[in-house]
Amino acid sequence: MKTIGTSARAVLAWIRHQPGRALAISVPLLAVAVLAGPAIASPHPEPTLAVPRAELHATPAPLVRTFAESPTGPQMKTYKHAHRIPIAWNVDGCDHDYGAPNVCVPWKIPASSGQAACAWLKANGFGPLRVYGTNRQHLPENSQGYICAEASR
Amino acid sequence: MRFRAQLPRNWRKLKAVQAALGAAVLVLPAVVVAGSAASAGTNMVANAGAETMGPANFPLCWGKYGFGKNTYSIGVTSKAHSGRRAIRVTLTRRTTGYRGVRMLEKPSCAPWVTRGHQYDLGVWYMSNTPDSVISLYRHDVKTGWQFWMDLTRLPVGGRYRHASVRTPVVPPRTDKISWGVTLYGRGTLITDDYSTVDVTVKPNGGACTAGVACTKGTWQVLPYPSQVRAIHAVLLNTGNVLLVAGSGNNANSFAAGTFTSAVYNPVKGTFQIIPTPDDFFCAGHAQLPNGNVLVLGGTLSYPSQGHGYLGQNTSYIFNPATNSYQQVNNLNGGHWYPSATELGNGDVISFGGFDQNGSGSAITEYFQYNPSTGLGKWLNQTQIHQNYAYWGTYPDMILMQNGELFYSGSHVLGNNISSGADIYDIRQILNPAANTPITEVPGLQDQPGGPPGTDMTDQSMAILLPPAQAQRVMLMGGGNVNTTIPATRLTDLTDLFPASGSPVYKPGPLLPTGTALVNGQLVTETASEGKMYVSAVILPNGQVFETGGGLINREDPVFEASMYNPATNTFTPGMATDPVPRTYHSSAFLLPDGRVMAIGNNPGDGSFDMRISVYSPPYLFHGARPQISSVATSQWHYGATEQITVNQQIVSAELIRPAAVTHSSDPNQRYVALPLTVSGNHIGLSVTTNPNIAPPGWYMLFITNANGVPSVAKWVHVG
Repeated sequence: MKTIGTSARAVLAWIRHQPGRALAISVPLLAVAVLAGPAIASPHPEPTLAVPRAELHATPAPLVRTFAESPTGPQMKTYKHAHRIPIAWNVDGCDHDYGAPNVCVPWKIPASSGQAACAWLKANGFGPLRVYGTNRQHLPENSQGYICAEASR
Repeated sequence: MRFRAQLPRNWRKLKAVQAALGAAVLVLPAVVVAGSAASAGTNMVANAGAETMGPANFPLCWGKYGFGKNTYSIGVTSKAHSGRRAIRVTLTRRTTGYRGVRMLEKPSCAPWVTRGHQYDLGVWYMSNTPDSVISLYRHDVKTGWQFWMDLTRLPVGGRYRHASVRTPVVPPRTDKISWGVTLYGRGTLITDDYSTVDVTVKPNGGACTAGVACTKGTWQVLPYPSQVRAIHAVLLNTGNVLLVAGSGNNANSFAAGTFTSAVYNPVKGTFQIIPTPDDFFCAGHAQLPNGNVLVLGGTLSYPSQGHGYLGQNTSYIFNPATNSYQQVNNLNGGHWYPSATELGNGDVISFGGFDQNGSGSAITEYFQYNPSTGLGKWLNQTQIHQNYAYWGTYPDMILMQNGELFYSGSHVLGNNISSGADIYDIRQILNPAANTPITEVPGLQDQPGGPPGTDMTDQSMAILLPPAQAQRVMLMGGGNVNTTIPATRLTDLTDLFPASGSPVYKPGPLLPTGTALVNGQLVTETASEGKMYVSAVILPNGQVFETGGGLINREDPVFEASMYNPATNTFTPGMATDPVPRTYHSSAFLLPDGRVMAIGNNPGDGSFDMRISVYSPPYLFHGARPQISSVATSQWHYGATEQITVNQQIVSAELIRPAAVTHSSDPNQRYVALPLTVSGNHIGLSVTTNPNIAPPGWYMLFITNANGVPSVAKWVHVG
């Protein structure tokens, strides 16, 4: 204790006699202490996490959510071998007995009579139509094989 | 950037302030309940630094979650960004699934939010795996908690770094959010000091002086006709539109071998006729990852005595750079009216149609894309699992986020040849011996008053609603080829992300009614009458424009258009109507400038309307459009945050896949949200990690401001 007390008195005496030098030494020391002190004294150094080198520039995997992963419900019927799936002639709702292939006379014209059907066709832009198959809807047909022509009876 | 960096750092220095704020935030929900909104700049996260421990020795207001086959641990660690604790998630083994932490859904924990607002979510983290994301949930006051979206990926970092991302605009009926982090790869993710801050950009009204166009939009019929019968339309990454007729439903053209297509420039109004080597009338098509267009099938023969339409087995690739077709190998069978869906790996799968004999084609076709050539080949049918199920004509097959296909039930041409809706697990499709179950999705509505099972989805249109991340599908309208049965107003909605159980269809709002041209007379539709052959177009503002269609098969055009808002599940009726009838063989699609183009009409008399209409939605009349000033790179990657600059504040950015539409069918149409990281006019856009959400290819990048006004698109390539 005596040694420490003697040393402290000597330092204070030196500061009193050499204030300029004391300042020149103490300011940098103080600055270092302020800046580095917390880091040195901190109980928690900056935390880190080890990163494998391969992960640094790795491409992310797709994140796929598991919702609806295993839906429940009836299963659609499947087959082990190819099989013929017949398609009805009128699947598109068209009566291809009449007109060119790209013309679509309704399979069931929304009209109550032959003349009304012709009126419906005319109102919807159809001209006289050639009968290629059978006149299934019994539309007024002329002698040249056209339905809903002016001379149709 | 300055705001993002400074706020948390200041907190770190001022732990006492942080503790006080944290305590305040813990009581914030009660304040909000009492009617006060969180003020700008307030961190709304309870126990943001995970310092206060709760039950089960885990931070208060934080919960663990996850699914799948994996080995994991979740706990606290002393490796804190500030304070004494942080949250650690570790996956040591993973076969499937993911693990994470997020805010508990309790009212005292989940931040209360305000409809129409946006929030910046921030977190400090360290991660040694690229497979981690910020995940967002929302509470719907009607339907409860639901997954909302994975917002952004957390890049690898061995020291603390800050991640920030902005929520989408909070939709109606949402009062709380919860968010956290999800780890889905082997590794460790440590997080600390979460923040949620209200950063709402308020609309300024976008003063409109355009009269009725302010609310209804407006149509323009272009002063020139299409140069081809535009039965198929594909928007190219050049901004041009490939219009395809093939024989154009003209038997004389077919007989003469006259097949046509044209590249239309919607800016200049010019057409370039393209030599067309085969009859692509009623083919399927989809863009490939490099922007080439795959065309498959088409017409082998028109109906004749003894048979109906016969399907082609040929296939071609259209190159937008050379405006030319190149043949690839043949399909395994003929396909007339086939589907075409691009998968997450860039391959294309196709189903259905009529084969070369006029029978239903039950062969699954698979095109394997070759990225080194930009071409590819159709696999032999023995290389593909074949279950010989028949999916009908133009079956609408939508790619789901998990790689399965959702058959929406929408189809074109004929009743009851593929009724119902299904989920088809195709993930093992290239293993011929695999089990590939097809599970019914129930709930599609029948014809009102009709017998059970009445198929009213013919000539309907189904779309993956915006955003694709939400995995919700709407099927609208439709009918029956029986001309005595009028088209329906029904819509059906399904959530492919159900909170529990399996997806089911539930009734949606009715389509608005319009005016139909019946036998030359304009008549108002009755309350039960709707539309078939309807077109539905996703817009950059996240809404769906619905237009065109007819009351019965091929006839009676209906003049009606409406705007569907997925956020409110409502139609706004009375939008401006296309003055041109748009029934059979019509299409509508989004242009890069934000307008909608409508083409085609091919009624039963065989005529074809060559007029082109363009719709300007109301958003084009509400003030200056935001501009994408620059895009750092047009080559985008999954899981990346891509950088752009803009000229004004925006509320969203989105990718919209260019159309490849025909016959009311574009199963690839989708809108992918791009969550924002905002630093002034510099915007980071988070691209999904999942290619099934945004299959590889060219997309239109739009930004949208608070008035709902979108920019003109820039083209970016994803994948």
